[in-house]
Amino acid sequence: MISELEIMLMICLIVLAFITVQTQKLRRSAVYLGAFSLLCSFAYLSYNAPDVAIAEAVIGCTLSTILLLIAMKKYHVITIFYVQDEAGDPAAIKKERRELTTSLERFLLDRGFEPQTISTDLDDRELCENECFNLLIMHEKNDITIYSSGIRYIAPDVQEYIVGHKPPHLNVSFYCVNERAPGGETYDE
Amino acid sequence: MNNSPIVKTTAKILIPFIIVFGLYVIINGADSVGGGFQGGAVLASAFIVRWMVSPDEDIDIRYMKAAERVLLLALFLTGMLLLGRSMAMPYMTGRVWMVAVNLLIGIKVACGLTIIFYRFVFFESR
Repeated sequence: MISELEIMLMICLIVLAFITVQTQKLRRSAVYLGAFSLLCSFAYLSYNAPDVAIAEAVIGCTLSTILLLIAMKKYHVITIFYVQDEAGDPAAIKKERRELTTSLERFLLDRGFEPQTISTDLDDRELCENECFNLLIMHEKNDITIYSSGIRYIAPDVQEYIVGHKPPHLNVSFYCVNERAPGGETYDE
Repeated sequence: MNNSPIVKTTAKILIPFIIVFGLYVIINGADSVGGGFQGGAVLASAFIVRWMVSPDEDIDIRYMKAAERVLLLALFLTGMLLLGRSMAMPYMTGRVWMVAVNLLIGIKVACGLTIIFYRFVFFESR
């Protein structure tokens, strides 16, 4: 006899598996996979296999999720910091900014990169010292200033894309900061 | 994630609990849920949490590799220890033997998974 709990678990598992495959961003996909593993271990538990459930919870949820996330970090995640002060801006400008960010993300996704956008109101000097960005976009009134760091292989394309797709009344200035990439230190044995 | 005081404090509190839970799963594996492999995986996750707090390369993997080999040998020897006996051994001998084997398996699995993790994090690059 199948209980209602099991039916719910099974439906959730199928939905999560589907979301995992269909999500656009790899990073979210990894997190969904972790949730899938956790529900899977509940399913094992409901079939009276607690041993397998513990192993699945530890390995599927912790180890493999973290390994996948690190692998993505080592591959090409591009961290975009978006510096802005939202207070007092009209809604039209906000919408414009959102569109710019979204189209930039889509551009990077098409190229096979993994964009990660962080909106912040921190001081840009502080961010520069921490060297934790790939793209730093500063948006003040009608001026956009972009710093790129550690992505020399794609920076010209990004510049071209932004200049080509920006709203016409904005001024874009683009600088390359040649520092090392975040987390990009490589060790050789 | 780097240098976040929230993560640091939480992990410092969490790590002893993870280790105790791992040892509990290993030692109690003979007569309840768990066993060497599961407990070892839990112990390895303590090392992963430790890496999240301080991502420095200050663990020497070579010692772990050596420890893993020695533990495998010890595991074989422990298995052979009771080879000739019949199954009707005294109760306490069986218990001690079982816990010992589980402990060896657990520590070996923890070493192995930690080696995999640290090697992947520090040495494999794009």
